[in-house]
Amino acid sequence: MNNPRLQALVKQVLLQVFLLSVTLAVIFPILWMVSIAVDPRNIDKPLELTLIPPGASFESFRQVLFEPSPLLCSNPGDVATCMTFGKLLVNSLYVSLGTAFFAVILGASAAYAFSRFRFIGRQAGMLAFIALLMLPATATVTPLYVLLGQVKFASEPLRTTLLGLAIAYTSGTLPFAIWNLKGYFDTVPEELEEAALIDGASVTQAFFRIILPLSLPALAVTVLLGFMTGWTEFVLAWLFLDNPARFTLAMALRSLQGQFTTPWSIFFAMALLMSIPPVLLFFALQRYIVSGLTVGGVKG
Amino acid sequence: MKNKLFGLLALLVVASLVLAACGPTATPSEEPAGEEPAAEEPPAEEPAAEEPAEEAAPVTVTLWHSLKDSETAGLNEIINAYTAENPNVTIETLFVPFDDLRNKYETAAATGEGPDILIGADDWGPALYDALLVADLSDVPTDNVNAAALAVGQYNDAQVELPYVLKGVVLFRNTAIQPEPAASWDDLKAKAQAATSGDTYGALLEIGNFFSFAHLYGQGGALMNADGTPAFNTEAGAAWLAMLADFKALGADSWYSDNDINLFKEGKVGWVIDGTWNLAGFSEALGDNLAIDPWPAGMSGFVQTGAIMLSANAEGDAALVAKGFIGYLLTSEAQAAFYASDDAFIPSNTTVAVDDPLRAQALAAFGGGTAWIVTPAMGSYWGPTETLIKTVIDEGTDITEALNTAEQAVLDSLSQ
Repeated sequence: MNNPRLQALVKQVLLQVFLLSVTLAVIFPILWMVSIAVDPRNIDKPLELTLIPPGASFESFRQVLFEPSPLLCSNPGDVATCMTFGKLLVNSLYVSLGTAFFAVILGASAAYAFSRFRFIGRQAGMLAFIALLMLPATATVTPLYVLLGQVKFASEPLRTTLLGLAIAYTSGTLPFAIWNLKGYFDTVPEELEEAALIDGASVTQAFFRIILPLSLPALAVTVLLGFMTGWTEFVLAWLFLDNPARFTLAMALRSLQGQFTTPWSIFFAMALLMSIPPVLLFFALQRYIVSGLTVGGVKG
Repeated sequence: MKNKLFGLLALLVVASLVLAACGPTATPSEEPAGEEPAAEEPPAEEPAAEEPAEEAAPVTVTLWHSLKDSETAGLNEIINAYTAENPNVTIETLFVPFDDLRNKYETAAATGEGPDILIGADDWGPALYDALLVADLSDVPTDNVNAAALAVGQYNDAQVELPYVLKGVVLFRNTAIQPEPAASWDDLKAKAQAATSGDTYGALLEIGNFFSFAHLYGQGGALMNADGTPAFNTEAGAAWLAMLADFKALGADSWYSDNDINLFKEGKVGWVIDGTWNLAGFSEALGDNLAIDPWPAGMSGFVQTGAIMLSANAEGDAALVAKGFIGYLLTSEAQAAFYASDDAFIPSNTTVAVDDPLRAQALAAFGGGTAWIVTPAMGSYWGPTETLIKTVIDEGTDITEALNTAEQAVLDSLSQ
């Protein structure tokens, strides 16, 4: 083993084996999902992986995309009131984008205040956000249920609306958003803002025109996390919403899990289709999720 | 220009939040305002009192359930028939996944909201009744309802739930592998051993506590006393554990794995223990080779029900109509509609003809079954008994020692 070329080769092989193992570990569940999704057999609980199952077809994808869900109907006697993939998708986008929007708007403004201003209770406030982060999600369910039930929006409880759901999700994502954004704002040199102020900009202008553009990586992460929360969450959604016309994709996916049986092919087909929008969003934001945007912003 | 746009956007967000936050102040003030005129206007009541009750006032009843597609179709049919007879009644249903239904109901009912009727699992009733979230249904007519199923919902001198369906754990048989039923546990064991060869198993019997508790009763024992204290630390308990060890010796380990179910569907297993909820799937897979056996001597399975409950928040006309509809769900007409809609539905009304051979066999097997334990004390048994079974079967712990440990763990849990 004194041969340096041989050493390098062994090192490279080991590295490749390790990386392949990691790749397989990541890809295996997805392969399994695809395999089951195209499997026309009604397997109660799939215990083995058959990459291309006998009689493989895209029937389950067709059902998910084009057939209404018979269980999610405003009026069970009228199939026209049953939720389709398209309607569920619109509701999911509404909630997810709403959550991301609220998380960025509220998170960025709060984080900027915590980062730049000195006020009484600043540190206690940040610690309080940490405490909120540490709380299990179930701890906030009942207070949210009661509070949002008290607020009326268009003559019905805010709790039962998609806006209310987005607000509930925002309450969960906001603490992390504030910590994340505050940490990033701290790294943006204050001299940049001072230069803008000297040039006649107001604090608000400096925030919107200097800080936010330089903080796109942190904002992108906040948007992605907010979107993902709204996209995948179903426990609160099932607790809060009573009108099937407002149900989301995550709720529909959950509804496929029966007490005793689950149509796994349809379940995984829907899960795969559901994963497309977040993946697209990630690719759209990927170029912003890089560090070092502020490098070179200040000399010396 | 951009600054103004951003400023406007921020202002709009803040304004919308403020407007939304202002909502609740309007709500309480609206409610009393709505109540006051009603209290001040007694004349409005007089004409109503004079009119004969020809046209009943419209009543809306809400119902939450987690029924599967086919049962939901049956429910819709029943609702249509009921509302045709009672045109003033509207019944609004909401499907909620089973795993979310109880939490949603408890949260809603605890805040004075939720449905008038809940269809859920039979072991929810007592706990919900203790929490004052469901009401007594003793005054609902239950003519021809299976007496044992009715008894499941009787708790603290109240009928906390009513059974709309029978279901339970039974012994399924593939007649191609096991042509004859077993008369006793020993007979089953011998036949299973004789039929096991290659990738074919004579029997793959579930060891998990939900599926195996009832065998304790089959062995002449009991899980708990009437007061909820443990009763399994007996000779019968030891015999039950020895039986479970034999289960494992018969073939591949089956602890809630569903390996037994998949292999049974592939026609490779003679006997499996499973719920009647898988009846349709088994029937589809095995066709005429499927049978449900009466429980052999020494074995048993839990008999459960699907439960209908009345919300404690249901009041006035809604409560009356809800009770009427619950009673209707138990009639032979409604039960027949459920029976026709779902291949695994076993009616709780004894007058409905069960002409499907497999469901008739299941019904007969329930005769040797054990009533499912719905008391809240059951919560103290799951963990310790799972450990009990695992330590004895998988780790070979002495049965007496394991029984003592489990009994103490249950007592500790109950005392907490």
